[in-house]
Amino acid sequence: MALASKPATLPRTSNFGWLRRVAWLERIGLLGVLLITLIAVFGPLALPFDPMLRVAEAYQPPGIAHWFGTDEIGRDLFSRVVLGVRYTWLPGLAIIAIALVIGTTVGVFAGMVGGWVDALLQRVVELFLVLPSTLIALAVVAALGPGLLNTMIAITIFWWPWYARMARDEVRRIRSRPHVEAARIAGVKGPRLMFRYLLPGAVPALLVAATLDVANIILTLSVISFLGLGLPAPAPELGAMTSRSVDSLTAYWWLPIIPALMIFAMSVLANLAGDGIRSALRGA
Amino acid sequence: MLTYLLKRLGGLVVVLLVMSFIVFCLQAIIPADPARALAGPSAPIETVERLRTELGLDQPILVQYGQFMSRLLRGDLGTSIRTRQPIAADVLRFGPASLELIIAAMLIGTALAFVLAFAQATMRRTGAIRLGMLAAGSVPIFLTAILLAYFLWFQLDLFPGSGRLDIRRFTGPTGFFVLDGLLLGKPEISLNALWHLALPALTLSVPIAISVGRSLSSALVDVMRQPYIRTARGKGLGGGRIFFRHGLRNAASAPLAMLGLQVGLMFGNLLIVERIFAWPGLGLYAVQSFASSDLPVVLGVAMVFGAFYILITMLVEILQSVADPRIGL
Repeated sequence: MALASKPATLPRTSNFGWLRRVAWLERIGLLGVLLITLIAVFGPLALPFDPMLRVAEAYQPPGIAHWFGTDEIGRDLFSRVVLGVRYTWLPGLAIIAIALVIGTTVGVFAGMVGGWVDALLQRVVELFLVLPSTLIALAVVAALGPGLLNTMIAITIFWWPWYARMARDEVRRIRSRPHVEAARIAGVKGPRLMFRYLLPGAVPALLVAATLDVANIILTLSVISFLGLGLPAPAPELGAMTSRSVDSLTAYWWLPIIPALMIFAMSVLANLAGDGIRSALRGA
Repeated sequence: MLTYLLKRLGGLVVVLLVMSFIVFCLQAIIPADPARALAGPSAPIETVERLRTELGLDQPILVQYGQFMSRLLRGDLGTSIRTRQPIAADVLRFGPASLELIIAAMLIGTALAFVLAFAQATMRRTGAIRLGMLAAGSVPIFLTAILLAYFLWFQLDLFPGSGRLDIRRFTGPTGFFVLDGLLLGKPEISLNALWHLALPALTLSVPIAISVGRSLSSALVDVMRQPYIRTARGKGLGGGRIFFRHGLRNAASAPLAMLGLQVGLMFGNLLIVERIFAWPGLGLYAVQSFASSDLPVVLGVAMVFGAFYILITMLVEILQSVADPRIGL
């Protein structure tokens, strides 16, 4: 047949078409987030100095030998900040991931089943919405004892309901779409219906919400760390480093300012990247 | 209206019950022994046992919960391990300072939100404003506090950055120093209190201004495109009247909800701001209790803030229905 005589020339497509929808500032955000992740994972393997030991005179201002200066007992601030990035960034991503998995599972399930399960979930989520979450998270950490794991548990408890609600709303929206109806009629049910037919429709909205939340998580973690409820003293947590040196601000400005600026950089880049992912998925 | 209030109060009771249950559970799971903590590490066993009986800690857990609730209903939040004072009395002592700060921050935040929304609506280079807002919304609260303190207090000495007043040991009838100064007929005290409020309130207001401003500007853009705005303009109404009666009123709902939400998110920031500016309020009280692991105080303060936040949420809903009567109460 004539149709098959010549291979159709498809318009040239690229796997990076989504990148064109992303403004250059948002691209910087995406690149920055990638860079921070690399620093958080591999940075501590190549530190110039031991972050826990005295390596020079105390209170040296930023210079060539010590890029970010040295702290009150002569530890290298640059090495400590790099390790601090790991202690903030990786737990932040982990909290988002865990909350996303729990929330999505619960939300998609409730949206699929409906009925009293759905009603119960709605009540639970409303309850979480009216509780002052940061404060109760702080109280939970204070009760369980300071530490990174307890902080992560406390924040996750208050983070997943939002994703559950969002997943549930998305599933309610797509459950009457033809492809889901067709699958139901064909006898698909249970986990297969949930994961193959309902979940994919909820993914874009959840992904955008989760990436925009990374900055919020970083800031919440830094609040808890600043209040001394994160890792105990010698560990270099950025919020705690600022908190311990805030009273010597006038004399040694770099000690509180540089770790705080690092938190700021992480949260700005995460926000920009979140906007970027939103623009990238808008056309998809 | 009345049935609405009763219904909401019912909801309030449920939420407070849940919060008190969480607080009780947290108290029950702490590894430390509260009787031992209250008696002190060197107290003899007999004293600890006597305290345990006095506190009812030897009773079954459900009986303890009943006792906890009946104490709570009488306004008894327990006793601080650190100060050995009843927590309710401490809350009354430190509460006004925090409330004054929260109110000031909300007022400044709302005013700044309007400025930002107008800037976004009228200026042409909105990209720059958007980037500025994104950056300002990403600043950790302690960095804002440190920078403001460094430049406006240490360098320029425009505002004081520590405490509530220059006068020591001032006590007024209400505990709100701005109000007390006026009540006692000493306006210089009110001015001084306002002066001290400036930096901490400004710091706290930044996140409020950003998120409320963002919400306000997108709501205003939506509303001002509506046909009824064009109709109002067509029948010759003045710009101000169109904006306030037809525009702002219809756009108020979402920003109001955001303002309420921000109050809930403010508590964590309040602790940090009160710590940095040495503001003697509930936040500083809570921070000091973290340091000495005085858990009853942390949980008591959490209860008080929680109740306050729920009241604010109710207030927001009432205001929303005033602005837009279609949102029935």
